[in-house]
Amino acid sequence: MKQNVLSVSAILLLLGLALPSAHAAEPDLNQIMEKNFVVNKMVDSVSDATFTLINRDGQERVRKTFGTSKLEANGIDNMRMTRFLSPPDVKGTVSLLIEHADKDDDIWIYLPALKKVRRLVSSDKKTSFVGTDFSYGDVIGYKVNEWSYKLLREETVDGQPCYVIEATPKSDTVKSNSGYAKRIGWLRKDNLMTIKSDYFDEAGEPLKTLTFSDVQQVDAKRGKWQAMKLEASNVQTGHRTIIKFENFKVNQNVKDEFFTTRYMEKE
Amino acid sequence: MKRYIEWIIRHRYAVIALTLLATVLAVSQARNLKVIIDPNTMLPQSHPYVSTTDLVEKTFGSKYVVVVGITPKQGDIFQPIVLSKVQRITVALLKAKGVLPENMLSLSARRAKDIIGTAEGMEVRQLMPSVPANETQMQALRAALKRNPAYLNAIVSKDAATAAIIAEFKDIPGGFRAIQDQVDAIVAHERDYNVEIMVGGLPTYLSRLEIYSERMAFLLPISILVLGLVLFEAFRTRQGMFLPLATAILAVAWGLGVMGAFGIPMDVFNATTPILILAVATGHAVQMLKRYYEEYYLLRKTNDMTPKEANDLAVVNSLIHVGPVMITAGMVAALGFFSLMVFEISTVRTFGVFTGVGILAAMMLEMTFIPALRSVLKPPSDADTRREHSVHIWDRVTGKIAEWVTGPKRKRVYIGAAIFVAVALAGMSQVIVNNTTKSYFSYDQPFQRDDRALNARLGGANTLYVLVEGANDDAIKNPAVLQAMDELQHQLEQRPEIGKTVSLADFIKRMNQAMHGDDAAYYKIPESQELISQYLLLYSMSGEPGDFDSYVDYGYRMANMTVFMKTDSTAYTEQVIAEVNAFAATHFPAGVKVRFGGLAEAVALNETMVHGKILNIAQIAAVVFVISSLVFRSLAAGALVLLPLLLTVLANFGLMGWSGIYLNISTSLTSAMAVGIGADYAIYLIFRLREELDKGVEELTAVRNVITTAGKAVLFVAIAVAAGYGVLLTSSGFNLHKWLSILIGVAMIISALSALLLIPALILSFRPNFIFRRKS
Repeated sequence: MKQNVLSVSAILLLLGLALPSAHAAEPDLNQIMEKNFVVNKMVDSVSDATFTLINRDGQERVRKTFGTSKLEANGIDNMRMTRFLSPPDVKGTVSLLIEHADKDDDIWIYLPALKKVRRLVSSDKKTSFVGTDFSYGDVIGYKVNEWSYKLLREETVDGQPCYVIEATPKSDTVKSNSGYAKRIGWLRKDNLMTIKSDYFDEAGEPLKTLTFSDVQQVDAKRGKWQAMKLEASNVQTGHRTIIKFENFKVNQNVKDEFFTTRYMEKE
Repeated sequence: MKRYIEWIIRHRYAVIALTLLATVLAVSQARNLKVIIDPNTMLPQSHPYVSTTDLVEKTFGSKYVVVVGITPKQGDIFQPIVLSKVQRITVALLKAKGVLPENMLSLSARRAKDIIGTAEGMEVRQLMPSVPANETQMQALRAALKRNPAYLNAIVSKDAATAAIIAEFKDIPGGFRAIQDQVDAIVAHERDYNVEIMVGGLPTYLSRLEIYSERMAFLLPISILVLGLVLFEAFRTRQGMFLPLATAILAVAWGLGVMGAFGIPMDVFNATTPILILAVATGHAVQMLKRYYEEYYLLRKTNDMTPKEANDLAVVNSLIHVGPVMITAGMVAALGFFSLMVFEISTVRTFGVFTGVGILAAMMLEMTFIPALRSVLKPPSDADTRREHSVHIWDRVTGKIAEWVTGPKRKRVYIGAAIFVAVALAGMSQVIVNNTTKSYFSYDQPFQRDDRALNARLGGANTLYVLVEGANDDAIKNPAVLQAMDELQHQLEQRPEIGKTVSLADFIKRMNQAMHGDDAAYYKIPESQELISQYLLLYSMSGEPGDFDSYVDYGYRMANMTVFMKTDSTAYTEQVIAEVNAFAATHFPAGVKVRFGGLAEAVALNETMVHGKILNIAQIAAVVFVISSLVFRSLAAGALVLLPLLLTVLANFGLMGWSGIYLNISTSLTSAMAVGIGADYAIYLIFRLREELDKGVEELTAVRNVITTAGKAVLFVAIAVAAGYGVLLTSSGFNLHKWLSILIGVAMIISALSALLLIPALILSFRPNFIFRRKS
């Protein structure tokens, strides 16, 4: 009897010792999220993009654009210039977006019919990114230290082993600024690119699903990756947005003066 | 005939058992009855207003609009206590079943945007992302509303005394009541002494209509009870009360059973049809019963039979004499109603089948079950006989009628009839075809008060959709189209009953102004289509993807203009539609069409129902005329049978004209019922007169006999049914039941009086061949 008690405590002791070491084997989620945050931040890029907005009834609005981007010195915010090529009645419209992770982004828009550059003020991060189902926040990414993470499981999606990580806001401010009570991301283990993400609104209801496919390495030296097809679908409204990139090139030495209002007015 | 009846009497227990079995079967089948509540399924889907409403719903989501208004008892809406109520109600409604979240509109709705013009450009922000916490934020909200007039009178009243939440719902199981219950529950939390909260819109009214109509469940039994009591007073026997009611109730049950078995849908518009079946079935049953008593008393007086022998023989005799008449009258009416099968509208077909089957059922019961039952029942006692024979008010009335018709005062009958026709025609010319759900309820109902308050304070709780449709995509971006829409809105808003209009034009104007530094001179549609396109792109880049979804379709081919109206009157809506059509013909570019939905659907429903019902009346009248003419082989007979029927319908319309009751969906149904009542009486009277004359009775005496026998039965039925439906007058606050009560009552009395007075009078005056010179 006494022997039994001893052996049980010996087993418990062994287990107790074993547990912390198992814990240590678990990936550091904060580190993963930090890498995930920067994996698609290129120095600069040029690309053709097609924006397809699809409503509940399957009707489409298609806009073709030519875009350039350049990462600012802080390594977080991008400057993006988008020139509309079609449909014909908006051809020549140019938008300039200067991201600010900490405050409202600056947007300027040039309307050829008005022949004027006007400033557009977007209200906050949770609003729609240029009328798509992505929000400004979705495009820039979320500050890693403002969210708590939990590894839900690991699973394979489209042949890629992924971490399934749940992120919840650390404060109500973060929650109301982002508009999300929860995000669940599927991150590829090999490059930490998000290939799928589920979002839940502030009330905790499923809001939308984002998928990122045709993931390509665009800068091998810096380890930068880009999804060539992005899709956001709002499960509450039935509205969808598909963004397709073509001729995506990085490190093109894009000049800063590209991102000025003066430059926008040039044809 | 005689052998058949004797056979029935011999197998009376089997007949009774079979009848009860058939009834159980019918009731079990009636449980399969499909009940349709959605008026859409009853509309001809080809009607342009109906298809447009469907299109508006499919493209823009809008279907049923609920408006919740909040008026603080003190001050304006710019108080945290009021605005937080707006926010909470909005949030709660967003979670309601069937609500269209993207179409939600209120100060705190996401798509309610503040467009701000600045020196360097434009800002688009949510109007009220959170309730203003301090005076500065409150002032900012005031300023935001001031510069965005699109929201004025829609979600905030012009004097800022009332705020509104406009929610749009689609159809959900449980119908309008399911919508209304959710809204009521949400609003109940927010009612307190600080504010007055009003709920309005179509679901409010239609849910009340459902609830109030359910009173029929207890009013109908009381009606039947009263009907029975009047019959008891007339016959002075318990059988006189129960037997006609048994026929009537079983006929309704059989009718429902047949419909259930054949999968013919029942709908709300046929909820009153049992009343007609009840009236017709009682009519036949009372004729039969009256004749039975006559025969029985005659046998007892002239023979030495035992009561039991006299009873069985009286059953046989009454059936021999009345049976063929009843079958004739029943077939005429049933064929008239079955002829409605040719109609496109399902509710009319149901009306025809249901009534036709009910009449056939009543005939079958009177030919089988009732004689069998009566031969089982105890024959009338001597006390019954004495009571039946004492002189009552009925005898005095029929005596008077007989005196007028046969005496020198007959001319006065014609003069009276002529005056009646003239008065009725004059009234008929004043009938207003108009449907407004509000008129169904009395003025002082709490929800009526709510509705009036909402309509007085805001743009209006009823919505008409004007769909502007171009030939191809981007048609709406054409400045000429937007300009015309803007002018049309301006013109419509001059009408006192139109408090607000909203369309894409409002937002384009506002953007144009904002992009020009908020200069009021630019609050107009720009002249360049490119600029309009670029504004739309611009807005789409600053707003949410769905912000304009309720104003313009995805391809910019169709625009939806919402017209908020303070009334749901179909007559008024028709005027507005006519005005818009006239405007569109001259102001919109070629290829751009306007169509109507929303309230216009009520116009379509009313138009279809009223016209449909009038056609029904004409068709049934024609069938009755043709068949009666064939039966009597005389056009004069056809005309004579038709006469009380026409006078009844005339009386109905005349009464509506003089009393100001609208000819609407519900009253047109009642008029169509009136047509089914009159013909029977004429047929009974004509047959009885021929029978008396065949016996060799002198003609004036024969007429007198007819009036005091079959005529008295007619009077019994008419008064009993009228009194029965008089019960509906007690349905407080619900005009629909009161109209039904009055119109049915008048129909019964006029059809009886016109049959009793005019048919004998005309026969005596014109001496038609089919009465006096028959080839035997």
